Amino acid sequence: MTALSRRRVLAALVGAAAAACSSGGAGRRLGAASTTTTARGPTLAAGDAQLVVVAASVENLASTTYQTVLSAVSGGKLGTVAPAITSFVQAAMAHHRDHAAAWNGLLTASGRPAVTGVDTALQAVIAPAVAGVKDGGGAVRLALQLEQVAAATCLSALQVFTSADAVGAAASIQPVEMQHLAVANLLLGQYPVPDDFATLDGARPATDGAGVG
Amino acid sequence: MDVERLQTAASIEQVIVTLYGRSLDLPFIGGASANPFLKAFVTRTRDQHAAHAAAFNAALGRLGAKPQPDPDPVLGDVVDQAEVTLTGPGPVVDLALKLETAAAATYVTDLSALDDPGARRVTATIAGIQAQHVAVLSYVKALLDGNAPDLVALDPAAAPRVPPSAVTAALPASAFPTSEARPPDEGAVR
Repeated sequence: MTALSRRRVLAALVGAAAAACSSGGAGRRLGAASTTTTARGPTLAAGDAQLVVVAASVENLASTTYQTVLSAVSGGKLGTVAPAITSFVQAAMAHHRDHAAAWNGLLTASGRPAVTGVDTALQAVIAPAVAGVKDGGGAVRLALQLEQVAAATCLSALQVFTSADAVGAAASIQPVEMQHLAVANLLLGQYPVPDDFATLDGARPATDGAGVG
Repeated sequence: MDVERLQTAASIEQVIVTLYGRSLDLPFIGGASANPFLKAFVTRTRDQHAAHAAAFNAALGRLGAKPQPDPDPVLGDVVDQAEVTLTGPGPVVDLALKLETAAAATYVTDLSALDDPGARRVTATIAGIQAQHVAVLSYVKALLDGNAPDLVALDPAAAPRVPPSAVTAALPASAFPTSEARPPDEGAVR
Protein backbone atom coordinates (compact mmCIF):
# COMPACT_ATOMS: atom_id res chain seq x y z
CA MET A 1 0.00 0.00 0.00
CA THR A 2 1.34 3.41 -0.90
CA ALA A 3 1.77 6.14 1.69
CA LEU A 4 -0.96 8.14 -0.03
CA SER A 5 -3.54 5.36 0.02
CA ARG A 6 -2.66 4.56 3.62
CA ARG A 7 -3.32 8.17 4.56
CA ARG A 8 -6.66 7.97 2.79
CA VAL A 9 -7.52 4.83 4.72
CA LEU A 10 -6.68 6.33 8.04
CA ALA A 11 -8.53 9.51 7.14
CA ALA A 12 -11.60 7.47 6.25
CA LEU A 13 -11.44 5.52 9.49
CA VAL A 14 -11.06 8.69 11.47
CA GLY A 15 -13.94 10.16 9.52
CA ALA A 16 -16.13 7.20 10.36
CA ALA A 17 -15.38 7.59 14.01
CA ALA A 18 -15.95 11.31 13.82
CA ALA A 19 -19.34 10.69 12.26
CA ALA A 20 -20.12 8.30 15.07
CA CYS A 21 -19.05 10.85 17.61
CA SER A 22 -21.07 13.63 16.03
CA SER A 23 -24.22 11.62 16.57
CA GLY A 24 -23.23 10.50 20.02
CA GLY A 25 -21.84 13.82 21.12
CA ALA A 26 -18.69 12.27 22.51
CA GLY A 27 -16.33 14.26 20.32
CA ARG A 28 -13.73 11.51 20.21
CA ARG A 29 -11.60 10.33 17.29
CA LEU A 30 -10.49 6.87 16.37
CA GLY A 31 -6.84 6.17 17.15
CA ALA A 32 -6.50 4.04 14.07
CA ALA A 33 -2.78 3.37 13.93
CA SER A 34 -1.78 3.43 17.56
CA THR A 35 -0.38 0.28 19.08
CA THR A 36 0.69 1.66 22.41
CA THR A 37 -1.42 1.95 25.51
CA THR A 38 -2.51 5.47 26.30
CA ALA A 39 -4.55 6.82 29.18
CA ARG A 40 -7.05 8.97 27.31
CA GLY A 41 -9.97 7.60 29.24
CA PRO A 42 -12.42 4.81 28.49
CA THR A 43 -14.08 5.03 25.08
CA LEU A 44 -15.24 1.42 24.99
CA ALA A 45 -17.80 -0.37 27.08
CA ALA A 46 -16.39 -3.57 28.56
CA GLY A 47 -18.56 -5.77 26.36
CA ASP A 48 -17.50 -3.85 23.30
CA ALA A 49 -13.84 -4.20 24.24
CA GLN A 50 -14.20 -7.99 24.37
CA LEU A 51 -15.54 -8.01 20.83
CA VAL A 52 -12.88 -5.58 19.62
CA VAL A 53 -10.23 -7.97 20.93
CA VAL A 54 -11.78 -10.78 18.92
CA ALA A 55 -12.08 -8.61 15.82
CA ALA A 56 -8.44 -7.55 16.06
CA SER A 57 -7.30 -11.13 16.54
CA VAL A 58 -9.27 -12.25 13.47
CA GLU A 59 -7.69 -9.43 11.45
CA ASN A 60 -4.24 -10.47 12.68
CA LEU A 61 -4.88 -14.05 11.63
CA ALA A 62 -6.11 -12.94 8.22
CA SER A 63 -3.09 -10.75 7.53
CA THR A 64 -0.58 -13.35 8.70
CA THR A 65 -2.33 -16.02 6.65
CA TYR A 66 -2.17 -13.87 3.55
CA GLN A 67 1.51 -13.22 4.29
CA THR A 68 2.06 -16.98 4.39
CA VAL A 69 0.31 -17.31 1.04
CA LEU A 70 2.39 -14.52 -0.48
CA SER A 71 5.57 -16.17 0.74
CA ALA A 72 4.45 -19.41 -0.88
CA VAL A 73 3.74 -17.55 -4.12
CA SER A 74 7.10 -15.82 -4.16
CA GLY A 75 8.80 -19.12 -3.28
CA GLY A 76 7.18 -20.80 -6.25
CA LYS A 77 5.35 -23.30 -4.06
CA LEU A 78 1.97 -22.63 -5.68
CA GLY A 79 3.14 -22.90 -9.28
CA THR A 80 2.22 -20.10 -11.64
CA VAL A 81 -0.22 -17.81 -9.88
CA ALA A 82 -2.33 -15.34 -11.83
CA PRO A 83 -1.18 -11.75 -11.27
CA ALA A 84 -4.76 -10.79 -10.40
CA ILE A 85 -4.75 -13.35 -7.59
CA THR A 86 -1.45 -12.07 -6.24
CA SER A 87 -2.84 -8.55 -6.41
CA PHE A 88 -5.93 -9.66 -4.50
CA VAL A 89 -3.89 -11.29 -1.74
CA GLN A 90 -1.68 -8.20 -1.43
CA ALA A 91 -4.65 -5.85 -1.22
CA ALA A 92 -6.54 -7.99 1.28
CA MET A 93 -3.47 -8.38 3.47
CA ALA A 94 -2.88 -4.63 3.55
CA HIS A 95 -6.52 -3.99 4.37
CA HIS A 96 -6.53 -6.47 7.23
CA ARG A 97 -3.41 -4.88 8.68
CA ASP A 98 -5.17 -1.51 8.59
CA HIS A 99 -8.25 -3.03 10.22
CA ALA A 100 -6.18 -4.55 13.00
CA ALA A 101 -4.57 -1.16 13.55
CA ALA A 102 -7.99 0.47 13.72
CA TRP A 103 -9.29 -2.02 16.28
CA ASN A 104 -6.09 -1.71 18.29
CA GLY A 105 -6.40 2.05 18.15
CA LEU A 106 -9.74 1.74 19.92
CA LEU A 107 -8.26 -0.53 22.56
CA THR A 108 -5.23 1.61 23.32
CA ALA A 109 -7.27 4.80 23.35
CA SER A 110 -9.31 3.30 26.14
CA GLY A 111 -6.23 2.32 28.12
CA ARG A 112 -6.20 -1.31 27.09
CA PRO A 113 -3.31 -3.20 25.47
CA ALA A 114 -3.22 -3.74 21.74
CA VAL A 115 -3.81 -7.25 20.41
CA THR A 116 -0.78 -8.68 18.66
CA GLY A 117 -1.84 -12.34 18.65
CA VAL A 118 -4.33 -14.26 16.58
CA ASP A 119 -7.67 -15.93 17.29
CA THR A 120 -6.34 -19.35 18.22
CA ALA A 121 -9.69 -21.09 17.94
CA LEU A 122 -10.02 -19.86 14.37
CA GLN A 123 -6.39 -20.61 13.70
CA ALA A 124 -7.04 -24.25 14.53
CA VAL A 125 -9.56 -24.30 11.70
CA ILE A 126 -7.56 -22.25 9.24
CA ALA A 127 -4.15 -23.87 9.65
CA PRO A 128 -5.13 -27.16 7.95
CA ALA A 129 -6.73 -25.19 5.15
CA VAL A 130 -3.52 -23.19 4.66
CA ALA A 131 -1.56 -26.42 4.47
CA GLY A 132 -3.94 -27.62 1.77
CA VAL A 133 -3.37 -24.67 -0.55
CA LYS A 134 -1.54 -25.95 -3.60
CA ASP A 135 -2.24 -23.30 -6.23
CA GLY A 136 -3.66 -19.84 -6.82
CA GLY A 137 -7.24 -21.09 -6.89
CA GLY A 138 -6.70 -22.76 -3.54
CA ALA A 139 -5.42 -19.50 -2.13
CA VAL A 140 -8.61 -17.74 -3.23
CA ARG A 141 -10.79 -20.48 -1.77
CA LEU A 142 -8.93 -20.05 1.52
CA ALA A 143 -9.59 -16.32 1.24
CA LEU A 144 -13.31 -16.97 0.92
CA GLN A 145 -13.23 -18.87 4.20
CA LEU A 146 -11.26 -16.16 5.99
CA GLU A 147 -13.23 -13.24 4.62
CA GLN A 148 -16.59 -14.77 5.50
CA VAL A 149 -15.42 -15.12 9.10
CA ALA A 150 -14.04 -11.59 9.18
CA ALA A 151 -17.17 -10.06 7.65
CA ALA A 152 -19.55 -12.02 9.85
CA THR A 153 -17.58 -11.26 13.01
CA CYS A 154 -17.67 -7.58 12.18
CA LEU A 155 -21.39 -7.70 11.41
CA SER A 156 -22.08 -9.52 14.66
CA ALA A 157 -20.16 -6.91 16.62
CA LEU A 158 -21.85 -4.09 14.76
CA GLN A 159 -25.23 -5.33 15.90
CA VAL A 160 -24.35 -5.20 19.58
CA PHE A 161 -21.71 -2.49 19.99
CA THR A 162 -22.77 0.35 22.26
CA SER A 163 -19.70 2.60 21.89
CA ALA A 164 -19.88 5.15 19.10
CA ASP A 165 -16.24 4.71 18.12
CA ALA A 166 -16.63 0.94 17.84
CA VAL A 167 -19.76 1.29 15.73
CA GLY A 168 -17.99 3.74 13.43
CA ALA A 169 -15.02 1.45 12.95
CA ALA A 170 -17.14 -1.64 12.31
CA ALA A 171 -19.38 0.27 9.91
CA SER A 172 -16.43 1.26 7.75
CA ILE A 173 -14.64 -2.11 7.92
CA GLN A 174 -17.42 -4.67 7.40
CA PRO A 175 -18.30 -3.48 3.87
CA VAL A 176 -14.66 -3.87 2.85
CA GLU A 177 -14.57 -7.48 4.07
CA MET A 178 -17.68 -8.04 1.99
CA GLN A 179 -15.91 -6.58 -1.03
CA HIS A 180 -13.06 -9.04 -0.50
CA LEU A 181 -15.61 -11.83 -0.67
CA ALA A 182 -17.09 -10.49 -3.90
CA VAL A 183 -13.74 -10.21 -5.64
CA ALA A 184 -12.64 -13.65 -4.44
CA ASN A 185 -15.80 -15.11 -5.93
CA LEU A 186 -15.17 -13.30 -9.22
CA LEU A 187 -11.65 -14.69 -9.42
CA LEU A 188 -13.06 -18.19 -8.93
CA GLY A 189 -15.69 -17.64 -11.62
CA GLN A 190 -18.48 -17.69 -9.05
CA TYR A 191 -21.38 -15.29 -8.67
CA PRO A 192 -19.98 -12.39 -6.61
CA VAL A 193 -23.05 -11.32 -4.60
CA PRO A 194 -24.90 -14.53 -3.79
CA ASP A 195 -26.74 -13.24 -0.70
CA ASP A 196 -29.41 -10.53 -0.56
CA PHE A 197 -28.37 -9.70 3.00
CA ALA A 198 -25.08 -10.16 4.82
CA THR A 199 -25.11 -13.19 7.09
CA LEU A 200 -23.62 -14.07 10.46
CA ASP A 201 -22.36 -17.43 9.20
CA GLY A 202 -18.92 -18.07 10.68
CA ALA A 203 -18.92 -15.13 13.11
CA ARG A 204 -16.49 -15.70 15.94
CA PRO A 205 -17.92 -15.48 19.47
CA ALA A 206 -16.75 -13.08 22.17
CA THR A 207 -15.36 -16.08 24.04
CA ASP A 208 -12.61 -16.36 21.42
CA GLY A 209 -11.05 -13.34 23.10
CA ALA A 210 -9.89 -15.54 25.97
CA GLY A 211 -7.83 -17.58 23.56
CA VAL A 212 -5.96 -14.87 21.72
CA GLY A 213 -2.39 -15.96 21.45
CA MET B 1 -34.04 10.95 12.92
CA ASP B 2 -34.02 7.16 12.48
CA VAL B 3 -37.27 7.41 10.55
CA GLU B 4 -35.89 9.97 8.11
CA ARG B 5 -32.77 7.92 7.56
CA LEU B 6 -34.72 4.72 6.92
CA GLN B 7 -37.11 6.51 4.56
CA THR B 8 -34.17 7.98 2.67
CA ALA B 9 -32.60 4.54 2.49
CA ALA B 10 -35.81 3.07 1.07
CA SER B 11 -36.02 5.91 -1.44
CA ILE B 12 -32.46 5.30 -2.63
CA GLU B 13 -33.29 1.63 -3.13
CA GLN B 14 -36.30 2.61 -5.23
CA VAL B 15 -34.11 4.73 -7.51
CA ILE B 16 -31.67 1.90 -8.06
CA VAL B 17 -34.49 -0.55 -8.77
CA THR B 18 -35.72 1.92 -11.39
CA LEU B 19 -32.28 2.30 -12.96
CA TYR B 20 -31.70 -1.42 -13.28
CA GLY B 21 -35.25 -1.98 -14.49
CA ARG B 22 -34.85 0.62 -17.24
CA SER B 23 -31.42 -0.75 -18.12
CA LEU B 24 -32.89 -4.18 -18.75
CA ASP B 25 -35.06 -2.59 -21.44
CA LEU B 26 -31.90 -1.58 -23.30
CA PRO B 27 -30.73 -4.15 -25.86
CA PHE B 28 -27.09 -4.03 -24.74
CA ILE B 29 -28.05 -4.83 -21.13
CA GLY B 30 -31.21 -6.92 -21.28
CA GLY B 31 -31.30 -8.05 -24.91
CA ALA B 32 -30.43 -11.38 -26.46
CA SER B 33 -26.97 -10.17 -27.48
CA ALA B 34 -26.14 -8.54 -24.16
CA ASN B 35 -23.19 -9.68 -22.07
CA PRO B 36 -24.62 -12.64 -20.10
CA PHE B 37 -22.90 -11.77 -16.84
CA LEU B 38 -23.92 -8.13 -17.01
CA LYS B 39 -27.51 -9.08 -17.79
CA ALA B 40 -27.62 -11.55 -14.91
CA PHE B 41 -25.97 -9.08 -12.53
CA VAL B 42 -28.37 -6.26 -13.39
CA THR B 43 -31.35 -8.58 -13.02
CA ARG B 44 -30.29 -10.08 -9.72
CA THR B 45 -29.07 -6.79 -8.29
CA ARG B 46 -32.37 -5.12 -9.15
CA ASP B 47 -34.12 -7.85 -7.19
CA GLN B 48 -31.74 -7.44 -4.26
CA HIS B 49 -32.47 -3.74 -4.12
CA ALA B 50 -36.19 -4.43 -4.15
CA ALA B 51 -35.64 -6.73 -1.18
CA HIS B 52 -33.64 -4.02 0.56
CA ALA B 53 -36.38 -1.45 -0.01
CA ALA B 54 -38.87 -3.87 1.51
CA ALA B 55 -36.57 -4.46 4.48
CA PHE B 56 -36.15 -0.75 5.16
CA ASN B 57 -39.91 -0.23 4.90
CA ALA B 58 -40.50 -3.15 7.26
CA ALA B 59 -38.11 -1.52 9.74
CA LEU B 60 -40.12 1.68 9.41
CA GLY B 61 -43.27 -0.28 10.12
CA ARG B 62 -41.75 -1.67 13.31
CA LEU B 63 -41.11 1.91 14.39
CA GLY B 64 -44.72 2.83 13.63
CA ALA B 65 -43.61 5.14 10.81
CA LYS B 66 -44.76 5.59 7.24
CA PRO B 67 -43.06 3.51 4.56
CA GLN B 68 -41.34 5.24 1.66
CA PRO B 69 -42.51 3.80 -1.68
CA ASP B 70 -41.15 6.68 -3.78
CA PRO B 71 -37.67 7.31 -5.18
CA ASP B 72 -35.17 9.75 -3.73
CA PRO B 73 -36.05 12.95 -5.62
CA VAL B 74 -32.49 14.11 -6.21
CA LEU B 75 -31.11 10.76 -7.34
CA GLY B 76 -34.29 10.15 -9.31
CA ASP B 77 -33.59 13.30 -11.30
CA VAL B 78 -30.04 12.10 -11.89
CA VAL B 79 -31.36 8.88 -13.40
CA ASP B 80 -33.99 10.67 -15.49
CA GLN B 81 -31.49 13.13 -16.90
CA ALA B 82 -28.90 10.44 -17.61
CA GLU B 83 -31.29 8.19 -19.51
CA VAL B 84 -30.40 9.63 -22.94
CA THR B 85 -26.72 9.08 -22.25
CA LEU B 86 -27.11 5.34 -21.68
CA THR B 87 -25.86 4.34 -25.11
CA GLY B 88 -23.81 1.29 -24.12
CA PRO B 89 -22.78 -0.87 -21.17
CA GLY B 90 -20.10 1.59 -20.04
CA PRO B 91 -22.44 4.49 -19.24
CA VAL B 92 -24.87 2.13 -17.50
CA VAL B 93 -22.08 0.76 -15.34
CA ASP B 94 -20.88 4.28 -14.57
CA LEU B 95 -24.33 5.45 -13.47
CA ALA B 96 -24.98 2.29 -11.46
CA LEU B 97 -21.61 2.71 -9.77
CA LYS B 98 -22.48 6.28 -8.82
CA LEU B 99 -25.78 5.22 -7.25
CA GLU B 100 -24.44 2.12 -5.53
CA THR B 101 -21.58 4.14 -4.06
CA ALA B 102 -24.05 6.71 -2.76
CA ALA B 103 -26.21 3.97 -1.25
CA ALA B 104 -23.34 2.21 0.50
CA ALA B 105 -21.85 5.48 1.76
CA THR B 106 -25.22 6.57 3.09
CA TYR B 107 -25.72 3.33 5.01
CA VAL B 108 -22.20 3.34 6.44
CA THR B 109 -22.89 6.85 7.69
CA ASP B 110 -26.32 5.84 8.98
CA LEU B 111 -24.86 3.02 11.04
CA SER B 112 -23.07 5.53 13.22
CA ALA B 113 -26.20 7.62 13.68
CA LEU B 114 -29.10 5.20 14.09
CA ASP B 115 -30.42 4.81 17.63
CA ASP B 116 -32.88 1.94 17.16
CA PRO B 117 -31.17 -1.48 17.35
CA GLY B 118 -33.52 -2.94 14.75
CA ALA B 119 -32.80 -0.11 12.32
CA ARG B 120 -29.08 -0.57 12.81
CA ARG B 121 -29.37 -4.33 12.38
CA VAL B 122 -31.16 -4.14 9.04
CA THR B 123 -28.87 -1.40 7.75
CA ALA B 124 -25.81 -3.42 8.73
CA THR B 125 -26.96 -6.44 6.74
CA ILE B 126 -27.53 -4.27 3.67
CA ALA B 127 -24.51 -1.92 3.67
CA GLY B 128 -22.07 -4.71 2.93
CA ILE B 129 -24.15 -5.98 0.01
CA GLN B 130 -24.15 -2.50 -1.53
CA ALA B 131 -20.39 -2.41 -1.06
CA GLN B 132 -20.17 -5.70 -2.95
CA HIS B 133 -22.18 -4.18 -5.80
CA VAL B 134 -19.70 -1.29 -5.84
CA ALA B 135 -16.78 -3.71 -6.01
CA VAL B 136 -18.29 -5.73 -8.85
CA LEU B 137 -19.17 -2.64 -10.87
CA SER B 138 -15.68 -1.19 -10.31
CA TYR B 139 -14.18 -4.48 -11.49
CA VAL B 140 -16.40 -4.52 -14.57
CA LYS B 141 -15.68 -0.86 -15.30
CA ALA B 142 -11.93 -1.52 -15.18
CA LEU B 143 -12.33 -4.39 -17.64
CA LEU B 144 -14.51 -2.34 -19.99
CA ASP B 145 -12.18 0.66 -19.78
CA GLY B 146 -9.28 -1.69 -20.46
CA ASN B 147 -10.98 -2.99 -23.59
CA ALA B 148 -11.41 -6.46 -22.14
CA PRO B 149 -15.18 -7.02 -22.32
CA ASP B 150 -14.60 -10.74 -22.89
CA LEU B 151 -13.41 -10.98 -19.29
CA VAL B 152 -16.74 -9.65 -17.98
CA ALA B 153 -17.89 -13.19 -17.30
CA LEU B 154 -18.09 -15.90 -14.68
CA ASP B 155 -15.23 -17.98 -16.00
CA PRO B 156 -13.04 -19.97 -13.61
CA ALA B 157 -10.37 -20.16 -16.29
CA ALA B 158 -10.22 -16.40 -16.84
CA ALA B 159 -8.19 -15.44 -13.76
CA PRO B 160 -4.79 -15.63 -15.51
CA ARG B 161 -5.98 -13.03 -18.04
CA VAL B 162 -7.62 -10.64 -15.55
CA PRO B 163 -5.46 -7.53 -15.18
CA PRO B 164 -4.46 -6.76 -11.59
CA SER B 165 -5.84 -3.27 -12.16
CA ALA B 166 -9.37 -4.73 -12.10
CA VAL B 167 -8.73 -6.12 -8.62
CA THR B 168 -7.23 -2.94 -7.28
CA ALA B 169 -10.10 -0.94 -8.76
CA ALA B 170 -12.54 -3.16 -6.89
CA LEU B 171 -10.59 -2.97 -3.62
CA PRO B 172 -9.37 0.62 -3.45
CA ALA B 173 -9.35 1.20 0.31
CA SER B 174 -9.48 -0.57 3.64
CA ALA B 175 -12.25 1.68 4.98
CA PHE B 176 -15.39 2.32 2.99
CA PRO B 177 -15.48 6.05 2.13
CA THR B 178 -18.49 8.10 3.13
CA SER B 179 -17.94 11.20 1.02
CA GLU B 180 -20.79 10.29 -1.35
CA ALA B 181 -23.40 9.78 1.38
CA ARG B 182 -26.76 11.40 0.74
CA PRO B 183 -28.27 13.85 3.24
CA PRO B 184 -30.24 11.90 5.87
CA ASP B 185 -33.57 13.56 5.10
CA GLU B 186 -33.25 13.71 1.31
CA GLY B 187 -35.74 10.91 0.74
CA ALA B 188 -37.92 11.38 3.80
CA VAL B 189 -41.69 11.24 3.38
CA ARG B 190 -42.95 14.82 3.10
